[in-house]
Amino acid sequence: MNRVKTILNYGLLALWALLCLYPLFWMIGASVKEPMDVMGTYALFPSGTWHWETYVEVWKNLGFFKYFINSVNVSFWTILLINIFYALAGFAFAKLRFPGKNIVFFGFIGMMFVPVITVLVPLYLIEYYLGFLDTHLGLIFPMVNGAAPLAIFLFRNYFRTIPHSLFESARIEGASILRILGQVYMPLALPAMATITILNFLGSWNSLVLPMVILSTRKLFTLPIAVTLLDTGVFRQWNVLMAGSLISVVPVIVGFTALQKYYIRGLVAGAVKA
Amino acid sequence: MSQRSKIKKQEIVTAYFLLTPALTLFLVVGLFSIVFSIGLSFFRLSSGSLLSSAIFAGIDNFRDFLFGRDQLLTRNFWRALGHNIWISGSMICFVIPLSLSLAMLLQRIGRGVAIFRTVFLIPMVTASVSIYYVWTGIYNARGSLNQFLANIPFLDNLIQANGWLGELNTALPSMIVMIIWSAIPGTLILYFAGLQTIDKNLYEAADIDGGSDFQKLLHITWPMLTPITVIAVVINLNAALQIFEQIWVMTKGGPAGSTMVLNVLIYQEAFVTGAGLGRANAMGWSVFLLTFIMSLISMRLLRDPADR
Repeated sequence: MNRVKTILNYGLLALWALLCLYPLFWMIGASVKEPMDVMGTYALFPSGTWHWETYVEVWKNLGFFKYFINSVNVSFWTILLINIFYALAGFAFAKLRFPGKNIVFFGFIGMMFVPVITVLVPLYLIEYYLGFLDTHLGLIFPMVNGAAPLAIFLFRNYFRTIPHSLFESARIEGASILRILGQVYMPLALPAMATITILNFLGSWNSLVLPMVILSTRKLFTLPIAVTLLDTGVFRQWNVLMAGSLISVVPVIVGFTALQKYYIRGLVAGAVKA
Repeated sequence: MSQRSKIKKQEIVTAYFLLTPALTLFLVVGLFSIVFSIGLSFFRLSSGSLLSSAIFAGIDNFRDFLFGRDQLLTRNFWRALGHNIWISGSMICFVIPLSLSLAMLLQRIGRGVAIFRTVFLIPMVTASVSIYYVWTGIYNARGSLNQFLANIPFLDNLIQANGWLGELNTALPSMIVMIIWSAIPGTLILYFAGLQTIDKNLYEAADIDGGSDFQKLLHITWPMLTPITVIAVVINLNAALQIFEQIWVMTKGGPAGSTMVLNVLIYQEAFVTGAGLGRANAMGWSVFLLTFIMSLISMRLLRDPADR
């Protein structure tokens, strides 16, 4: 009886795993087929030769190398600034006493519910006046700001779990607050940083609507808009579209798989127990 | 000045020093946009025209889409809202139980937890333009779903000749299936993390009292996971009401508005037709208010009975 249960258990998990992987396999299969062979069959992979040259075409001739570098650039700076800005802010909220603390904190957290599509219009206007329109900085700033609620919340909760006596004893010995933060708290915050890095890597890498509004010069485009450029309407070249898609999906899969252990640990510590 | 108040003052100065980068960005990009956008919703201006040409319109923008001052827009707005509500309802009814079941199955097995967990997160990790195109391909008239059905006796009358996203009555359900598929991982991983925090002794005590698996779920697991269910409901509700990219890439709200949702309508109003930035903002904040109220209601409804 127990054996049957175990097999059933694994069976159900395997079924769901298959459903999770199917679109990914579909993507890989379609990218190496002849363009005419993608539709009209449910065979995942090409029956004849695998056309890897589609990738060369997309990477070199269609400029995906450039778009890839753009995406790396935007994600890198976004993640770096998020970790610096909100570790500092999270520390202030967790360990220091100052007037206006609650108002400022809930001001940040309240942004979580702000409808992104709606503030795009004023964002566009501000960036126009500040000269950030159609630059990577114009993408990075709103992305960093959008990450504030969750990042501040997670850093603050994480810093709170570190015993306060550590802070007090360092203070009594005459260490400045900034030194305590840099030498004691920052090194301890690495797991929180890993969680925040993963979440925002996903968010910034996959973002479509923000670059759609902010960027207009083709050579500045990030991967998601570049993929939409490959969509030629009714007569889609599925192999090209899917090769571009796979190029934009692989980095997040690799990055996430490598760091997911920290992500789950961070969730348990930061969100579930809080 | 006493030593004590000097230390206190130093702490305040340091705190605001640490908050400076975050606050600067918040004031320029965040707060300004929010205030500006709320303000805009009471003005009339089209996207081509300058800000200086804005005319104060009172609540006319809201009357345009809520009470039929602009009949077509009102009809589209309520229809889109209906679709968003369908999506929210389906997400909560399917994502929560499916995620919990999968998390419990995953918790029970000894070997292979890590590999299953990695695979289960793929729909969340890849949720982007790329995967939306894959689903467009699967749902295509000659796509793999139709091809698959064609090969199964009695199921071939399910084939959608114009593709699953091309028929009025299958487009929205097809979108919802895809949305649920990509929403499960986030909730699943929350439940999985939550299950690990439940004290094993509780289950052992239930075993001694002869409790069945179902009773354990009902009286231990479910109540212990209530805080996570609250988070999951709020997150999924918010996601359903803010849905945009999937629809924009896959159907643009079509065919004939059958998958139109609020954010696509707002985006079109603001950036595509340019019919009215003011109206777009007014609609956006109405959606915000709705999301906020629904989140509060679900938090109250699901609150731990012990706290009530």
